[in-house]
Formats: sequence, C-alpha cells, structure tokens
Amino acid sequence: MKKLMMDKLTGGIMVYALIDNNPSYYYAENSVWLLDDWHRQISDMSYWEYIAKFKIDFTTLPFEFLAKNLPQLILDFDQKILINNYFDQAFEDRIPEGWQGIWMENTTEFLNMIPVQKRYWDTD
Amino acid sequence: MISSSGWQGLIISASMSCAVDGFTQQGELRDSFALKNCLFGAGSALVIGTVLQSAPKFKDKLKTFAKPVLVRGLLRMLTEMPSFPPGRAWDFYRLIHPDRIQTEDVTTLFDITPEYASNIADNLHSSSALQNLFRDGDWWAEVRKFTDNPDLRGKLLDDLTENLNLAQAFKERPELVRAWEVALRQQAIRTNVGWLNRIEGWLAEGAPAVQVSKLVDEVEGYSSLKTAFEANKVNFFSWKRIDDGIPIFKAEDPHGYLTCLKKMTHYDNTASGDGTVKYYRVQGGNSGSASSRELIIAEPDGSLTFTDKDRELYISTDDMDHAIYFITGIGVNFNGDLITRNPPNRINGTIIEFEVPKWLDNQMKGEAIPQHRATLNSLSNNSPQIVDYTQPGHPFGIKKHWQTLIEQNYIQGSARTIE
Repeated sequence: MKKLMMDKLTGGIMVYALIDNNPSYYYAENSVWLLDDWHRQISDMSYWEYIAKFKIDFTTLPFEFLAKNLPQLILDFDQKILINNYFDQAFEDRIPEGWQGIWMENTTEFLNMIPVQKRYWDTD
Repeated sequence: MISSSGWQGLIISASMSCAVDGFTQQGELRDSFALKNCLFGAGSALVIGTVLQSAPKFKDKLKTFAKPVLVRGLLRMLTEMPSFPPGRAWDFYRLIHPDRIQTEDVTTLFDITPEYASNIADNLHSSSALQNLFRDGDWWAEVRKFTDNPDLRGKLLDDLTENLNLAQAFKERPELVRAWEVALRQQAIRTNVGWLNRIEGWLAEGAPAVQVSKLVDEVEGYSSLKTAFEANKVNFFSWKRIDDGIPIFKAEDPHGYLTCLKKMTHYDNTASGDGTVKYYRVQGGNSGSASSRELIIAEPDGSLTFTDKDRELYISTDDMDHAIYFITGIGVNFNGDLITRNPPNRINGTIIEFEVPKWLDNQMKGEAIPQHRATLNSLSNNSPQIVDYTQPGHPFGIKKHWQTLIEQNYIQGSARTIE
C-alpha cells in the first residue's frame, strides 16, 4: 500500500496554491503546472476541479516524502502570480495572459514566501 | 471514331450484333447463349462476304436497341473474349452512337446516377484526349467498377473528367480510388494526385481510413500543417500519435502542436543506424537551497551517478542548442527561428554531457509524447515527454524507468562537465 502511494508520488513537484484565498499543497508532474496549456480550463474554473486529485493529504503521507519534497512552485490564482523555484523548467514563462511569472532562484527566499503556519518542513 | 475500318471492323460489328442480339430476348438475358460460337460464326460469315453487304443493316438494327442492352453486350464481350482488341468496345459503341456524347451515354457506359452525368458528358465532348483515355484499353469498363456506389462513381468521374492528369493517374494506379474515397469530403485533396498518392501510401501501411479522413479535414483547415505534409516534414504516424493521445493539443496550441509534430517526425525519420548520441543536462541553481538539485553527477572517471531518480530528469539530445539557450537566452529553434530571452532563464547553470547508444535514443524518442497536458494523454505510460517544443534544441523530460535505462546503458567514460 505504502509502495503504491510512493510510486504515484514520483516524477512531480510540490506546489503551494492559493485559490479563493484557500491555501493547499498539490503534488503532480510538471505538465499539470504549465498554466498556459490549461488557460481555458483556468478561465472556466474546471482546472481547479481537475487538480483536486493531486491535493496533498498530510495525514497519509510518509515523513520521508515530505522531507525531500519542499515546495518549488507557488500559484496564486487570486492575484494571478506564479513564482518558480524549480530550476529545470521555466514555469515562469508558461503562464496565461494576464498572469505574472517570476523566477526566484534563492530557495530560502522562496520558501519564506509561504506563511509560517503552512510550512510543513518547519517543525519548530 | 472507329479506327478499324474495312472488313475487320465489320467483323467486330457483326460479332457485336450477334452478341447483343443473341443473348437477349425481349430485353432479358438468355441463359443458353453461347457467345464464342456466335462470334466465330459472325466472323466466319463476314470472311466469306455474305454479311459484308448487309453491315448497314446490322448497324441500324443495333441502333434500335436500348443503350443499356448494348453496353451489357459489350461488357460481356470484354469478359468472355480476353483477346478482344483493346479499345474496340468503346469504338463499337461510338460507331453505333456517333453523335455528341449525351447524358444517357454517360450513365449507361459508366453505370452512374444522372446527377453529374451532364457535366461529365460536356467534359468528354470537349476533350478528345479524355475520350481516348477512356477508350484506350477500354478503360471505361474498368471505371465502371470504381467504388460500389453509382452516386459516388458519378462524383469520381466528374472529378476525373475535369482533370486529365488526375484521370491518367487513376488509370495508372486504380488503387487511388480508395484514397479518393477517404478524402471525399475535401475536394482540393481528393483531386490532388500528390495527396492521393500520399494517402494511398498510408492506407497501404495500415492507417485506419477513418483517421486518414480526419487528417484530410484537418489539413484543409490548417494550411501550415498541409504545407508541412507536402514538404515531408510531418508524417501520418507521428500525427496519429498526437491524434490518438492528446487531440486537444491541436486546437489549444496550434503552433506548439505543429512544431512538436515536426520533431516527432524528425525523430521517426532518423531512428536508424548505430553509434551514440550526445545528451546534455543543465543543472544548478543551488543558491540557498535546502537540497541538492544535481540529479546527475559527472564523475572524474567519466562515469555518471544518478542521485534521485524519483524526480523528473530534463535532458536535451543531439546538440547543445537547448542547454546553451537555457543559459544564454539565445538560439535557433527547430523551425529555424531565432529565439531570444533577456534575461536568460538560468544564467547560473552547469552543463553535463554524456553519450547513450543510438538504439536507446531511438527507443526513448519513439515512445515520447508531447508534454502538453500529458496527464490526459491516453498514450502516456510514464513516457518520455517532448518539452519546450518551440525553444532551440531537443529537450525531453524523463521519469525513473528511462533514467534507469540510461544509467544501465550510457557509454562508460563519456560523462563530463562542460566548463
């Protein structure tokens, strides 16, 4: 059971998303986060319904997975801002019209963008 | 019109009279009719000259028959007498009905419904070259077998009589009829010999007719795609992979779709030979990072270490174009367009180079799918993804399975960090 879950949790990245001021974490492969490919679904809001299946349930996830998967992308659907800390693909260039895409190389600064109470990696 | 003048022509004429008259009885086929005997009898009669004098009488008699009866007789002659001189059946018909080709002649000779017959008759009337084409070898009798449907045959004949080159192509390659049927909805395609040959080639390779029809509709609505097919920059089976897997890609990102399709075709076309292929990876950006992002390490001895195969690994193949673009923000893409980005995406990146066997590169590219909404791609099976199609070079994203294959098969000693 645990192996099955871990098999699904590979090849993707952790994303912190704000939708209607509700923060959630998601884990999915990168194609899900190329927002320009989903601009129609984002416009008609079906995108949120689609990504719901990638929503993280912290009560079931192994610690080791969380420990090695810090967030690398912030999606603020309310302000239409994407902040990318993922080196390998330029998500910041793959945004719908009207969005702002930002590359933030410094991981510490990037993680500090996330509210303290939502930092699952910060156990202090 | 008839070219065999003299007694030989009259033998044929007399024979035909016998054939038409002999096997019908009040317009119905006579089962017991022996065609060969009749023909030989008629021929013999002519040779001895007894019928020669009465040839006009035969002709007049034949003219009284309904045209369908005459055509049935001619077809029977062609079927039962393989040695019957090619083209003479047409000649014979025209000898009996030498006037301007009428609608009824066309519907009867070609077994079509009247819808297009008037136009076809006009076309035939105005072109002796066309008439000769249908006459020579009595091709008209073969055209009668084109398609199972007289309505459709009329439409096809309408196309053929509008364009002599097209008709000649069909005469040389009757299998084009199948391609014509598949392309039926798009006149510009179904009357284009190049496209019909292309379609017939796909069908011969096992392409589903319904899907080829869909492609034909698509190219008529997307001129750049049509041009790409005509220039052999895209092929059907690469198109099919997108159509099967993620057809929505076409409408959602036409430019990315076409570029990706060209790349898939290129990979398909170059998937032969042996040797090795160079792979590149740009990595780095560790500033303030809590964990290393170096997913592969080029060791001093040229070996390669994979540090975390649970993460997607982005590499580019064949040349350094994508790696250089990612770091410098300048390059030329697969379409030949200069692409610039200022500032560059990842100015601090480091390039790792290594080599993989060509067979593995072929396999990886052969199974690759577009990254566009890849989670919805019905062909996706942890497949390699073609990414950033319109950027320079050949970048891919690969999952654990493919990383393991590379780890097991890369060329030992080939890994290095490019300074």
